[in-house]
Amino acid sequence: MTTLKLELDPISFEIMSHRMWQITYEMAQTIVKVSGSVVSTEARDYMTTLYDSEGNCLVTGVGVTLHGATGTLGLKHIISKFSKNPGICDGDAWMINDTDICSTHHPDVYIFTPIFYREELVGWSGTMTHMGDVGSIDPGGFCPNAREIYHEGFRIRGIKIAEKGEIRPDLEYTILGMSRDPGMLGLDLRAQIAAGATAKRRVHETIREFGIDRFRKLRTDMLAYSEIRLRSRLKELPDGTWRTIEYWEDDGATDKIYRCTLAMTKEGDSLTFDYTGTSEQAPTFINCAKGAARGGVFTAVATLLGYDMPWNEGLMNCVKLIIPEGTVISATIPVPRSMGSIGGHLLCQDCAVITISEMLLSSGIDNYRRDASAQWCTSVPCQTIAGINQRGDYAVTLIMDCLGGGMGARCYADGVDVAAMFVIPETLLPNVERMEFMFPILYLYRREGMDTGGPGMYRGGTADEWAITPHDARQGKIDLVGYGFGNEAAIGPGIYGGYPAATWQNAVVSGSDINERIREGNVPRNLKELKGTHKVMRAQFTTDFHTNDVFYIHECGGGGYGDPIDREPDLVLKDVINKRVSLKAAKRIYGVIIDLQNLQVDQKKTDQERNLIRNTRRKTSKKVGG
Amino acid sequence: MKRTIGEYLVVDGLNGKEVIRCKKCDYMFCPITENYKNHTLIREVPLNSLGDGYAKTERFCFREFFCPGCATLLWVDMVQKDLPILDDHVLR
Repeated sequence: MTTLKLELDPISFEIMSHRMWQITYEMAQTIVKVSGSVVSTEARDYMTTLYDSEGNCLVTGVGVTLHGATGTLGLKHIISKFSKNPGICDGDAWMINDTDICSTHHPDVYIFTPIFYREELVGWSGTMTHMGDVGSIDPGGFCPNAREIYHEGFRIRGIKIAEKGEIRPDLEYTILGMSRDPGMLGLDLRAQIAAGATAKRRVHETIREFGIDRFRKLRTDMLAYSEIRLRSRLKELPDGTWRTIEYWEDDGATDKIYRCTLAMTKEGDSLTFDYTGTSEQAPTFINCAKGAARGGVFTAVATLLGYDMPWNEGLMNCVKLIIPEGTVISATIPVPRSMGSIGGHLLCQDCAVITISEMLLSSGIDNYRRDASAQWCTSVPCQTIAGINQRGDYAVTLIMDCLGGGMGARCYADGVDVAAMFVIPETLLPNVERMEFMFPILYLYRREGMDTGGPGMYRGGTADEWAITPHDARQGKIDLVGYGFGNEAAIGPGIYGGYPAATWQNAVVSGSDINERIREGNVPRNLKELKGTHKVMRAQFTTDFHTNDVFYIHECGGGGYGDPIDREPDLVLKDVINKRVSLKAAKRIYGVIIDLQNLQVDQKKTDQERNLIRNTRRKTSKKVGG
Repeated sequence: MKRTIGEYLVVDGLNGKEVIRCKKCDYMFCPITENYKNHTLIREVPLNSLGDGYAKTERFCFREFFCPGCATLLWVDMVQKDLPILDDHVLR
C-alpha cells in the first residue's frame, strides 16, 4: 500500500480540509441567496471551488462536478496571462467563459477571486453559474443555428470585472448590454462575486485560527492526500482495458452519426483514458472543447473512485488523457460547441462511467462492486424558452426538468427513479409554480414516465415526463429551442445483461384545443387526448411556440443491470402497481404474468413464460459467424 | 475463489490457464485472453422490440449476447448497425 505521509498532523488535516470543503458549501448558499435564476437557485447548475495560489483545484464542492477540472484551466490562464499586467490584486474578481480555454459553453461563466492574507496571495476562490443568456444567435446559449463559435455569445478570455472590492461599472454595463436578459445575468454575476467574498472571509478566519504556516502545508497535503488515496485504491482493482462507444445521432444539420470511442486502461495505480477513434468534429454546436472532455473524465473518476476524498487536481494526477484534436470532443476554432455541456462533455463522462463501472464489477471486491452502476440518464434533452412574459418583460431560461432522469441500476438495487444528472448530484427540479410565475408557460403535468428505465434484474431509474403550453405570452408566442441526443440511439447503456433506458421522445401539438379544455376543467392526461397537428421533433430544433401549442417530452432513464428474466417477479408486480412498468413490458421483457384481479404474480405462468423466452432466445440467435 | 466478472461470468482455472465460464451453468466460453462475446449466441433486434418507448430506427439495433448453455442474457450493446463486435473487457 502506498504510504500516506502528510506535513500536517492527521487531526489538523482533517479539520482544516473539511473546513475548506465546508466553505465551498457556504459559497453555494451565497449563490442561492443572491441569484434570482431558477437555474442557479433550484437546479443548482453552479460550481464552487477553492484553489491554491497557482490555480490548482484544492476542493470543489457541490454543484456541477466537471467544473472542478475545467475551472482550473481558466484560472491558470488568467494567472499566466495577466499576473504582470494589469496584475492580480486584493479586491479583484476575474471573469472568463471562453470554451477554447476552459468553459463547456459560453453561458457557463466563471468568476475567480484572489485571496490575499497580509499581502501574500494564499489562494483563490472560483464559482461558475450557467447564465440565462449571453447574446448568442439562439436565445439561452445552446445554439442549433450556430455554425461558428462567434455565433455563440460573448466570449470572455479573462477580464478584471471587479477591483478594489467594487464591480467595474464600465465592464458590467458592457457585458449586460450583450445579453437579452441583463437583469438576471447581473444577479448571477453579483451572486458569484458575493460567493467570492464569502470564501475570502472564511479562509481568513481559518488562517487566523490555525496559522499561515499550517495553511500553506494544507495546500500540499490536500493534493497529496487525494492522489495517494486514489493510487492506493487503484492498486486494489484489476488491471485491464475496458472499451465502450457512445453515439450522437443528430447534429441538427445532417444525418451523420458521430461516435465517442473510449478505451480505458488501468495499470497499477494509474488510469489512461484514450478517446482515439472518436468522430471528427461536427459543423454544428454538438461538439465540446478539450477542457470540457477533461471535465467529463474528472466527474466519473471523482464520483466513482474518489467519493471519500477531496475532489481536486490530485485525482487527475493519476489520470492520463488521450483526446485527439479536431474531434467532437476536442473541437478547434472556429467550430461551434455551445452544446458542449450536454454534448461532447457528457459523452466523455458517460463512456468513463461505464468503463470504470465495468472495472469495479470485475474487482471481486464487494464494496467496489456496489459503487458501480449502469449508465445514468446519459442523454439530457434540454429546452430553452424565451420571449415576452406575462409582465411584459423579456424572460429566458433553460427548462431544468431535463434533470429528472433516472439513475443507473446497481448490482444490488434498482436505480433511483427521477434521480438527477450524474454530474449534478445535488440538483433539484425547479418548482412548477415558480416556473409558471417567472415565465409565460403552464404545466399540464409532470410525473414519472412508465417504461422509461432500462429493464434488468435490477431496473434503471425511471425518468420524468412533462408537458407545457404557452400561457399569457404577450406576443401570442415564445421561442422554443430544443437540443440533446439519444432520441434515436438508446444511449443510456445497461450493464451485464441489463438493457439501455428508453430513448427520450418529444413532440409538439400545434393548434390544439388545450385552452378550451382548460376552460372546461378537462386538462388532458396525455398528448393523445389533444386535437391538433402532432409532430415529433428531431433532437435539435428551434420553433415558434404559439398559444394553443403543447410541448411534451419524456426524458431518459437509467440503464438496467442483469438479465430482466432474473428479476424477482414481486418487484415487477410492484413496478406495475406503481406504474413504472407496463403490464405489456412485464410479460414481454420480464416474463412475469400478473393476476390483475388479485394483484399477485402467477408463478406457474411466469415460470412457463420465462422458459419460453429462453427457448426463443436459443431459436432466434446464432453463433458468431454462424 | 473464482473471480467474478460482472454478474454472470467467472474466471476459472483449466489446465493451468485462466478461462471464462458462465457462473450459472458453468459453460466454458474461452481463455481469458479472448473476447467472450465471440463465443456466445448473438441476436440483433430493433430498439422498439422493447416497446414504444424506444425509437423506431433502422440505423441502430440491440445486439444481445446469450450464454449457449443456459440462454442467460449476458450483455446488450446498443450499436450502429454493421459495426464489429466490441471487445469491451481485456483483463490481465
